[in-house]
Amino acid sequence: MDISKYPFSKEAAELIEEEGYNLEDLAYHPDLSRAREKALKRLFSAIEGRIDLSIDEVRPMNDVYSFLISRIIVERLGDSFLRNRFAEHEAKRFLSLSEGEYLSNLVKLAEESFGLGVSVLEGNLIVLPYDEYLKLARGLGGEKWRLVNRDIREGKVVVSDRDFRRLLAEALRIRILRRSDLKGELPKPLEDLAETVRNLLEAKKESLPRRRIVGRLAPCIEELLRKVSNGENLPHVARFTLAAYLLKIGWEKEKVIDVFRSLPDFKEKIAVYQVEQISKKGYLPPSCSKLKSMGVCIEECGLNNPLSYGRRKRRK
Amino acid sequence: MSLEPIREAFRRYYKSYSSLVFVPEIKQREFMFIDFQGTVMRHKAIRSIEELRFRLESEAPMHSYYSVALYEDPGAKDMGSKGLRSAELLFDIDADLLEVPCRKEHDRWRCESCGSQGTWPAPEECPDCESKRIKIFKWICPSCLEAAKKEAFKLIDILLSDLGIKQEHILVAYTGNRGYHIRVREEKAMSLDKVGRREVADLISGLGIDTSALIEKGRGVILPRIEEGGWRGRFSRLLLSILDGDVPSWVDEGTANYLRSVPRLKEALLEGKKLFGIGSKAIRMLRGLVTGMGKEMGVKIDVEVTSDPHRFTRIPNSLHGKSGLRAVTLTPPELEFFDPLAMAIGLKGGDLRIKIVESVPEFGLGRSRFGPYDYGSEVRLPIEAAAFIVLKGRGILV
Repeated sequence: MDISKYPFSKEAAELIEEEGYNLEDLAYHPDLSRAREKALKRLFSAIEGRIDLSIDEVRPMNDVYSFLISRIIVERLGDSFLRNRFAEHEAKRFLSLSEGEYLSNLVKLAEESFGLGVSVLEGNLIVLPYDEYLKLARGLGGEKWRLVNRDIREGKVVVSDRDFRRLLAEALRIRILRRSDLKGELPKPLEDLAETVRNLLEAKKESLPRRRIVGRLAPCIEELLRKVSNGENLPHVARFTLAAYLLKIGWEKEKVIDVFRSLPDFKEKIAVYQVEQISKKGYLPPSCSKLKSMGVCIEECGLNNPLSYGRRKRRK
Repeated sequence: MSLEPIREAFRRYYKSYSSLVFVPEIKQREFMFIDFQGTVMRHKAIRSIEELRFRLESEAPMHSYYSVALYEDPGAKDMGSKGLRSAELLFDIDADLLEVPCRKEHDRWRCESCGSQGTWPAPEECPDCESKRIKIFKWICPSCLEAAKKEAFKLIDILLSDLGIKQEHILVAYTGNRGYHIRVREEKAMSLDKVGRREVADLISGLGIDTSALIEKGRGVILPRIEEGGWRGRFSRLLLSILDGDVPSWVDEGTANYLRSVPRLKEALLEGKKLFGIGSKAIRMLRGLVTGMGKEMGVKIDVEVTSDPHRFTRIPNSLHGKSGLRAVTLTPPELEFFDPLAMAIGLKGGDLRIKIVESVPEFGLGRSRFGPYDYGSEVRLPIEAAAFIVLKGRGILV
């Protein structure tokens, strides 16, 4: 398996252990200077919302150490915006680099690196237990990921290799989002690296438009706004709900587009088009029962549509 | 007159039969009781089966429940500090959610302002005086209970085929009134969170089946294969049976004929081939069939109940305060031969005189038949029949 593509894998972890570099080495060892450079590049790409797909053909371990150093810096800074962007970056990187990978390698990754109980059904079809599937698929937007629309047989969900890679990317994203218990200061060179990242991060945050929210919003909408401002990725239905809701309560289109700027995969052209369409067609946010089904609802307010919450509370 | 004689009969039942009451993992459950005054007592922790039996005997509550959830501290007063460990997956099947034709015959309403009345469905406001004080009188009969049982079997089938739940992990319970509670006691299912439970609820009920996820249109149309599981496979098999001339009653002949005229449809189903140039009308019809399938073949459960791990179910062999019947736990094979109105009788001994305040249709209970009784008449009946009528709100003790 190509470890530069899969630096999070168990195989990569074993190689790190074999080479025996410790935290001091990660900071000072001259053999790792290229890895430190690559870590910085990796984090810059993540913050900017690009994907760094470069692979070190000569010494693949550089990509493994660059991932490791990046994670250490993300943990050290403890900033949720950065963590989200980095998680998104690594998920997208995996999705892109794993294209065309042997199915047996993907299955091995799933089993060894993510502890999933998967097996090959036939051809390019893979099965995984429904509870594991649900944990991964919930972060993915779209009706096709819902259990009710899947091929599910005796507790196992059948997925194509392509969908399987999406699920693994999600598993990686979830892993990075989970905080580790790394504590305390790092050796000087790594602290310096972290400082450089922090500066870029602050500059990026500064460049994002500020929002001021007037009046009370439905709890699900507040939650979506909180997630967006933390740089978390949102599935399609959540984005649609947020845009339709904010437009309906009278926000300017530009202001709504600004909300989405902090999304890790923000594309100006697409966002403008989508928000324009929602505004032009006058779409309402989905009903509460739909939002419950899609996992957007976070609190029972006894309404049929989140818009009524706004109306009822605002009138008071 | 108060309901005291009925409460006394509940007490006598518990004194004789409390040894039948059983709750698994009792220390980790939250209990809830409602007494004959309507007072709700929640957040109760009970340490042993003896304590529970004693409580039922001495207090004779009108309704007795326990949580499907297992908690660290079930007696904690707010949900947050109870410490949810896991929860059985609960499905609620209630004849109320089924459109059974017998409701028209036995469910009634009455306006409490002007006395105007009629049969099901009840209006939101009285057609005569526009008052909203409409009282509804529900009833149960073999035919709505049979419909609920049929629904329960549909549910069990999907639990087995789609989720692979083993039959020994499925418990069926007659609630003592209008339906069944089905619980799954299996590790994977029990550790699902709210979002996961909702996904399972929607899978069972066929809610949110997406027409374009099943009938994929890109370059050509892709249909789910026959061997697929879940609603995808069910759709393909439904379509195949329609093409073979076996048309379910909810599919109209026109649709069936049109689908049969679509070239290579059967081939596409059996061999997984893409369909080209079948026209937008055929796609519309296929997608219409997907929607119809969800509505007709989905199991009618209360999805909110399944999504919520903090729900309650009735204590096995406790009495239902709206019927006086027992909550009976069954295995799926036992369900087949279970006849609630004959087999769930709990109250025994003595009789009571009651006055009919809302007409009562003829009904069977245990081995006897009763009624019909007209409004205003007074009758002396065995305790189980008297309590049944009174608890259904159609009679008062005199």
